[in-house]
Amino acid sequence: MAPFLDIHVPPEILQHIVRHLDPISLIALSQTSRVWRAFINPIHHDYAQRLLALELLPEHGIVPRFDERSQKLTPSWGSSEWESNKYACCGCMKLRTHMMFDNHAILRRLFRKPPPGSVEASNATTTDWEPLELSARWRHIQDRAAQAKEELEKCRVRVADWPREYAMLNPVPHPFARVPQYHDDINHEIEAHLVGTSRHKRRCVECQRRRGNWSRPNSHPGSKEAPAAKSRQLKFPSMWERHFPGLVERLPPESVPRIWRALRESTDGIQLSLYVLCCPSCDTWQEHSAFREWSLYQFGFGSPKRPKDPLLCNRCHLAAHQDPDLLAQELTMGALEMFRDDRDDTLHQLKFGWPLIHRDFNDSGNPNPPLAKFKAVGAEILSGLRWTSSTKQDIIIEDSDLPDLGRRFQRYREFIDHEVDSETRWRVLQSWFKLWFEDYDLYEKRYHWLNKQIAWLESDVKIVLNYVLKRDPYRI
Amino acid sequence: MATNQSLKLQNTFRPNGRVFEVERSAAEHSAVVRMLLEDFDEPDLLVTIIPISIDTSDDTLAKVFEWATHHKNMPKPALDDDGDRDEVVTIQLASWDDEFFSDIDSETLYGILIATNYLDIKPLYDMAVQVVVNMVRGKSTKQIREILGITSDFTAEEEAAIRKETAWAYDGEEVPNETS
Repeated sequence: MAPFLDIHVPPEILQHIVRHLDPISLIALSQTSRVWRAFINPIHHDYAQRLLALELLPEHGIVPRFDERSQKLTPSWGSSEWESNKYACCGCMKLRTHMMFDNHAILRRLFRKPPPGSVEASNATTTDWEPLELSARWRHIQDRAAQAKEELEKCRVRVADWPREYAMLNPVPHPFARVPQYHDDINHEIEAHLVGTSRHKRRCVECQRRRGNWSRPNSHPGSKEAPAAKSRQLKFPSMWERHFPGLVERLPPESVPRIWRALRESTDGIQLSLYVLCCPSCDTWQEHSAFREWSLYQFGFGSPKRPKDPLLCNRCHLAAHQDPDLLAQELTMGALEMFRDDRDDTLHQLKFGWPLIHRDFNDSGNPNPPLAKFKAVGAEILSGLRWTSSTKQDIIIEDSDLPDLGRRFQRYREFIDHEVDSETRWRVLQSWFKLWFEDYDLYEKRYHWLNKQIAWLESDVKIVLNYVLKRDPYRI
Repeated sequence: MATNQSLKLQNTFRPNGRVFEVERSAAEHSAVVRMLLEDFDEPDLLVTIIPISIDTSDDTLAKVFEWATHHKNMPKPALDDDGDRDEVVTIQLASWDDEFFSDIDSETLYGILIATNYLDIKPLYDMAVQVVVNMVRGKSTKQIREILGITSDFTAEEEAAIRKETAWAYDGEEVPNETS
């Protein structure tokens, strides 16, 4: 018969063994038998410690690193590593996805997952269980917490004082000198001693709502009937990709005109805030696109409009109205509106350069037009274009005009590339016009591509509905 | 003082316990033996058999003295150095010690814990604790039961309630392994 640890070994040795366990094994051991349960007698604090240790296990995602100096997150937003990460909520005692937390709860210094080797990560490897009565144990926990708080405060003061000390040691005679960034050793101190030390206070949006944190006016962007929480910002190439992710395959990045990434090469989309809303019917939190009020938080401001009453998620809408056609119509209208907006933007860009070409060939409003001596070429390229007004600030085009417009542009490109001297070429191709000139084909391609997507969506009103029900892209 | 002298120790917990002849420097790993040597007349102790009463087998004691003999030259803490018995320190086992513990079954391991606790051989006691901790660490409830030979005495209802206690940790997902 196998010997039993709990029968053969005296309690003082068992206590010693238990004190060496990690919080996860402590709870697992306490669940093996009545003897062990009575012996360990786990309290809420032990379960919370277990949960905080669980979130650091590799199966719940790698620990994200947030560089405070560059504000860079690794793994990046939207990557599969980031999406699969789980975070502990010590309110409902669950490991939940990042969408169930606001920015502060998972990105603030004291709430982030601690990196390996930090004080907090080391603490999570061993339980603070002690063989004491509950009251005595609780006092010990409180004492330890007070001591840790004191240490934390000292560290915070050191970190907060660092820029001032740095400025004193390295005086700069410039009143607008840049605030120095954290030095490596200060950054290391932050990572080692501060990060993650308040994780036990982290609460998911549902717990915040239930605790009444949002009872104050303007404390959250939703309404009483439809509570909402702002999470983090993500870049999307377009509004339709933000609200209907994966509905259509994206154009490859090299096909995206550079006007939308003009600020820097890495800017490949629109920065948008994500919101999660709780459906009053099924009581589940979902991404706000599931509620079909796509413009509700479009510009990142809190509650610009009051949501429709009742604001039901797609599935509850279907269950309440029993009318798939109604839902399909609403979804298709929303998607089409976004695609059409995108097409209008593209069309606007497509037309952008023509008034400038006209200005370069003619002296209307331009005292010294760079292409004035090529008036014949100008007439060849511009004659027959329909202008909105006599000032020739904008052209009127329809889909059927695009091949003709394309031919005119090819002639203009040929002219600029081969028939003008380099100095004139340099004078003409400036600033935004240069971008337009170089990316004209991309605008045209994008316009045709968007037209194709719109025609596809218009061909069957059920396409978006099927996509929503099949992929459930908003469920958290 | 000669260090290659031998001491004779006998476990008197059971009748006819084996008499162990242990080098003095090895036996001094035990704080209890060292106190005896200090408190009593050394020549007497060296010729007489020192009785010890530990609820453990002779084979287990043999393993304890095997470890002590191998580490006889290891520095021993001063007797008045209590250290912090409650301090929780994770120990990395050296390769010889790792092999030593890999050869023994759980009954002997528990016996070593009891014997080293009685004889106050702190390094070996700490290692044995660490070995038990390593056996349990990262295991599910079911695995711990198998490893430590624990039989569940919970009723089905209690078992279900216990599973619920920690199942909430996973947000709507399958619980990975039993009650962990």
